[in-house]
Amino acid sequence: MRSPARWILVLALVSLAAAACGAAATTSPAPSGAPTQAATATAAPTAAATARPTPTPMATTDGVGPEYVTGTSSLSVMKEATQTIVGNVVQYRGQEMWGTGEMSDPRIAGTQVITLNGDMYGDVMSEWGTTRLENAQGTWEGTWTGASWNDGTATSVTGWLVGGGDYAGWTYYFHVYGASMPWTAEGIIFEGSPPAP
Amino acid sequence: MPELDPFEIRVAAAVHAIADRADTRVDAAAVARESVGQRPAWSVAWSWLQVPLPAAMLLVLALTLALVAGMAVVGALRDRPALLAPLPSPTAEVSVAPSPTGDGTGIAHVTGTGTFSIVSPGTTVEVGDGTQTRGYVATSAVVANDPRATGTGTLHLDIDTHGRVGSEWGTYRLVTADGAWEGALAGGSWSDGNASEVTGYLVGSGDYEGYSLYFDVRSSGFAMELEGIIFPGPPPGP
Repeated sequence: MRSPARWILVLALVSLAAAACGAAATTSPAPSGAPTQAATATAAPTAAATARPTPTPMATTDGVGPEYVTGTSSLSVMKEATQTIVGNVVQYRGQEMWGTGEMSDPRIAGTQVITLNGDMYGDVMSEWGTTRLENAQGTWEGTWTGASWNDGTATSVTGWLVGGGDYAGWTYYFHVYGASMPWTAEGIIFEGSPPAP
Repeated sequence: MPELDPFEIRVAAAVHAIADRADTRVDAAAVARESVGQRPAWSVAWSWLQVPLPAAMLLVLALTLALVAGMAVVGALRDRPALLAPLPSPTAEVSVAPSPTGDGTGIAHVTGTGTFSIVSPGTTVEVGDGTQTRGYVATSAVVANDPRATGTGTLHLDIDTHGRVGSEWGTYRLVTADGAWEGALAGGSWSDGNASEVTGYLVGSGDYEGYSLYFDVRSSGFAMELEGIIFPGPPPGP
């Protein structure tokens, strides 16, 4: 029998299936990333200064000799930048941040202080600054450059840090990149100097 | 053919008579019932709904579409918090340039892929535990989401290896249909040079005069992926 009642029942089943999908969507947990913090950290520093972070090492290398290293990187604002508008460019100068993350080599674990300058064009920004990384055995210090987009949530920056203390004579090249914080970090540690400018 | 005797004729007549009395009619309804009784459970359910088979297939399709649509809604909503996240707010009014569209104008976030091939391996000397390569030259073919970053490039590189990793630096010139980008690149390599990552700021010429291209290239073997930004301004100062 092809009664209208049975067709109505079938349509109701289809509607219930669609409604169930909608309910699942509205109750799904939101992603736990921190795009707002990322944007604040790199593009427009508006967040309040945060407490000194405690780095969490994720050492998997032997910490000796030349090495390819990987890990993650996050930033939190310590001191906000000054902002100057020149034409269509917002110039950020002198932002100071704590750097945290987990890296695969113990030589690059420790407390990281980063200064950031940037020129923002629309929602992309050219960036440059300095990084100092310190742990019980020594320091890494140098400059970095790069860019961000999507209002600062996505980034790609690279830097050359020169070793001090036990790391004297060594260089750490790093690349931090990704769509949102925590970003992906990778780099190399080698005995030698950074390329000459 | 020999003729039949009377006995054989009678036997033949009897056989025909029996055959003619056999019931050869087919009860189609009974056959259908028997077949339905052997179907899998889901088919029995459809028979309970008494929906014809083509309609049943349509219903399966409709349910599938409903599920796919529901999953799309889930995905969209999961992306929403990022879209709704508060954007950084400059403290003063500023005229915002166009968003990146990949349409080949204005400010853009660019992505792309490419391949490169070695023109000259340069000269390599061993120094301690490493090597020093000078004068490495390669060409590249780049296809990006923005025509301003699509073209052919020439890379000049010097490379110092330290065990399985290396530092590298040099220059890159990317020629496109309407102009060129040129500047210095530097970065690192690992896995005995099979993987590398270099970045740099390239300055535009031709139609790109006054623009800069920040160029981040990751390569594995002879394949490369690039990402960067194009903006109307100079690279950061030294």
